[in-house]
Amino acid sequence: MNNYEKLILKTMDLHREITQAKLSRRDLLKMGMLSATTGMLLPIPGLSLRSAFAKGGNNSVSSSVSSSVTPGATVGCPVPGKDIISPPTRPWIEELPRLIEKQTVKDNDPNNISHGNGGGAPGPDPIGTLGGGDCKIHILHDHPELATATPYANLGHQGWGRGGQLGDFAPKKFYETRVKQFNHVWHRDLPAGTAGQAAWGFDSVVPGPMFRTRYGESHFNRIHNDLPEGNLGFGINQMTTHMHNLHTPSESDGNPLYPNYSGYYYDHHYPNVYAGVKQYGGIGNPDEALGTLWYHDHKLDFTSQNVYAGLAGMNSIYDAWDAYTGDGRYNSASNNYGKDMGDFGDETKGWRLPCGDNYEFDVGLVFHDRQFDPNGVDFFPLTCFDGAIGDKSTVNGKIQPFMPVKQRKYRFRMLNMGPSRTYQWFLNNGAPFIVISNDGNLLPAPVVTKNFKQAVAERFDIILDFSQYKPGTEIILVNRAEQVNGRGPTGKLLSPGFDTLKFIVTSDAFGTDESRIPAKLRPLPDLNQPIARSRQWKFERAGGEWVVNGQPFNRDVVSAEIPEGTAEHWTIINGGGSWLHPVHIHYEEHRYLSVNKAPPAPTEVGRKDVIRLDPNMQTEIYMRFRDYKGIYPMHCHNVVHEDHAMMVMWKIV
Amino acid sequence: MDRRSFLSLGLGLGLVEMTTTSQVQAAQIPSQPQSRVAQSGFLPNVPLVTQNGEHVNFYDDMVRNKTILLNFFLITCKEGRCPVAMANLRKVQELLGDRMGKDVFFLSITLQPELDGPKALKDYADNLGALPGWTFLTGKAGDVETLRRGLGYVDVDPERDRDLSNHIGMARYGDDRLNRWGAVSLRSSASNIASTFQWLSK
Repeated sequence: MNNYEKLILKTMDLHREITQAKLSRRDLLKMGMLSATTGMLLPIPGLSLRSAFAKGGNNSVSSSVSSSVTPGATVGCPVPGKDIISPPTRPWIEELPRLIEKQTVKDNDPNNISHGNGGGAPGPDPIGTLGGGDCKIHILHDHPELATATPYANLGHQGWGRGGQLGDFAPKKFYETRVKQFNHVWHRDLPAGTAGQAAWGFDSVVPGPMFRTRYGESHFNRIHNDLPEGNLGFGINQMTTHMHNLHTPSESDGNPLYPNYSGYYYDHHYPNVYAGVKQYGGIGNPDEALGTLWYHDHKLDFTSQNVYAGLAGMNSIYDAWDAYTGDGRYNSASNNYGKDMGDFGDETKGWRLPCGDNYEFDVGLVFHDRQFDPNGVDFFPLTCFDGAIGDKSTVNGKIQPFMPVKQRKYRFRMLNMGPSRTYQWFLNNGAPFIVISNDGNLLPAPVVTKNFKQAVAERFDIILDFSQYKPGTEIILVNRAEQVNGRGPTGKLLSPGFDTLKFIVTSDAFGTDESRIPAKLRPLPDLNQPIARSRQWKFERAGGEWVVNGQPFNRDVVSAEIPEGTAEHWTIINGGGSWLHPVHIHYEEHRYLSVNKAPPAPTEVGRKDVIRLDPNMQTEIYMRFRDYKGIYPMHCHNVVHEDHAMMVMWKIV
Repeated sequence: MDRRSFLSLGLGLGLVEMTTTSQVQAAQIPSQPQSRVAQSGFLPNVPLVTQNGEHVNFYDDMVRNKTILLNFFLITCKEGRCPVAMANLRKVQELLGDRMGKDVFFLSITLQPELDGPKALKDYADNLGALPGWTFLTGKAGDVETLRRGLGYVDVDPERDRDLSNHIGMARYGDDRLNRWGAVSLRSSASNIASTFQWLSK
C-alpha cells in the first residue's frame, strides 16, 4: 500500500468513526472539522477526502476548498471524477443481492389488503385539466364506500368491472406495496458503513421487489405512499407508479399527472392481457407478449429525483412458452390461459429458457448510475439540465458487486435504471452475449453478439452459459462507453472500461441444466394493418429547455388524438446538438421500419418501447393503439430531460 | 466508540493541528441553518440589488424559508420566446391570487446586469404590472454569472451558451423549507405554471 492509498484509508476510517460516534454537526464545527458555510468536512490533511485526492496525484482535484463542487466550474453540472469524486470503495466486496420476490397478500385474499395507515384514504382528484373521469382514484373519490369494499367489484376501471370483452378481467392475484424511507447500504466502504444512508423504496428495498406475473392472471396492487415530508435533499413525497410498458389502461399506467400523495394509496389493476383483445378475443394475441417490465415513479417534474432516491423495481410477466409448462393454448371453455399452464420453472417445457426452481437462474439485474459527495452522501445534480452522471456503477443497489454462479445457463434480465448513462457492455474474457430479448420482448431468434449498447430504460434479456468454465473462474461485465455528461457517450471505447459486475463460477450443485437456447423464439406480428396517419416528432433543446416539436410540456395540451384500433407511422427525429435521447412511448410497443434509412440491427428488429435516438438519428416506426382508451405520455427517458419539459401527452379516443 | 471517547481520541490522534487553522475562528454556528440544498452549493448566496435599490443576498434574503419561482430574463429581448415568458408570469401572479407575495415569490434576474440597473428594472416591472412579491434583480456581472451557472442555466456548447436568449425558457421553482426543487417551462401556459403551486408544498 502506498502513502496515497494509506491516506485514503485513513480518511475512510475517520469518516466511519465520525458516523459511529454519532458526532453532530455542532460537535464537528466545534472541533473545526466542518465548514460552517458549506457543511462539508474541512480540507485538512488526512481528514477530507477532497484534500486527500488533491495530494494524491492521479485523480487530483485542482481545488483545495471543501465544497462538494469546484467554485467557478459549471456548478450545475459537475463532471464526475473531476468536479466531484465519490469516496473510494473496493470492488467485489459486496455480494449481488437477488431482487426480493414479491408475495401476494396473505392467502391471496383481498380481505387482507389494508386500508392505509389507520384507515387512510384513497388519493384526491388528480390536479389539472387532463385528470378526467377515467382515473380510478377519481372514481374512489366520488364513491368513498368503494375504498373499503372488498373485493372491489364495482370500480370503474376499463379492464375490470365494466363487463364485456375488455372489462371482464377481475384480479386473480392481490398485492400490496408500501413506499417508505429506509436506510440502504450502497457499499460498506462508504463513510456511513453498514449503517447505510436514507433511500426511498417500494417495500423498503432498492431496487424494489421483483413481481412475477402471468398472462391471463390479472393482478391488483395497492400502493401506499408512506414517504416522509422531508426528502433526501432531492425528491418529493408525491408519486405515481408507471408500469413500463404493460398493456394497461391509462388509469393504471402511472401517468405523471395522477399523483398519489403521502398518506394516501393508489390502486393499480393490471389485466395482464396481450395487445389485440378486440381483434383476437380472449386475452389477445400471444405474439404480442411482453416479458421484462419495470415499474418506477413518474411524478411530474420529479421523476429523475424520485427514481434516483430508489423508486423503481422489476416485473417479469410469463406465458406458456416463456419458461412455463403446459401447451399454453387458450381454453375457451374455461376462459383461461393460466389454468393450462402449470408451474413456473420447468425447463423441459415451452422454449426451455433458463429459470429453475424459485427462479434461481432467471435473475433481474438493475443497473443504476450513482454519485456520492466527498463525504459519501448521495449526490444528485439538482440544477443540471443536461443529465445526472455518476462515478459509481451499482447493480441491484450495490457498488461493483460479485455474484457466485453455478456451471450452467442463466437468464439475466438487464435493466438500465438511469438516470442518464448509456452503457456499452462487454465481457472481459471476450465471450459473447446471447441476446434473447430487447425491451423485454423476446426476439424472433437469439442474437449472438460480443457487445451491445443499452440506453436508459432499455431492457435486454441475455443468456450466459457458465458450464464451459472451471470453478474459480472470474468473468467481469464491463461498460466501455465513455460518458462525461448528460449528453450521451462520447463515442470513445474505454480500455479497460468500468468493471461493473463480477461472476465467480462455483462448483455448487444444481441438478441437471434442462434449459436450452432455442433456434427460434416468439414470432413477430405482421404489420399489415393499413396506416391511418403519419406524425412527426422532433426532440431537441431550444431556449434552455428540452422540447418536442418545439414545444415544452404543458399539462393542458393533448398533442395527438388517435382513434382506438388504428395504426400510425411516426417519424422520430433527433433535432441535433449531439444529444442522445432515449425516447419512450407508453402503451403499445413500436416496430422499426427504418433507422437512419437502414433496416434495424438484429437486436432491434423486435417490439420495443424505447428508441435509443442517437445524435442526428431519424427513425421511422410503426405504432398501433388497441383496446383501451385514455391519455399516455411520450417522453425522453434521460429522466432529467423529461423533467425539463421533454414530454408530450397523446390520447387514444 | 462513544462520543466522549471519540473526542478525546481525536485529540490524541494528532488532530490538534486542525484546531489551530483559521477555519476554526471563522466557524460560527449559524442561528438558522441553511437548507440542505443551499448547503450543497446549488443556491449561491451572491450579493444582488433589487429594482428598488435594496442590497440583498440571493439565498439569505430571497430564498431562505420561502417558496419561490425564479427565472433569468433580458429587458432588451422583445421578440420570440422572451416576451411570452414574462407575459405568462404576469398572468401566473394573478392566478395565484392572495398567495402571491405571501407564500409564493417570484425572482427575475437580468442576464445583462451592466445594461439593466435598478432604475431600468423598476421601469420594466412597472410596465409589466408586476405585483408585490415579484422582485427583479441585478448585480455585479461576476455575481450574476456565478448565480446563472450555479442554477444550471448553462449550455455545454460555448457558442449557444453565449446566446443569452438560450437561458430564458425555463423557470426553477422550489420550497426551500422542504428542499423541493423542480423546473417548469415559462413558454407552456400560465395555468400550467400556476398548477405547480397547488401541489408543491402538499
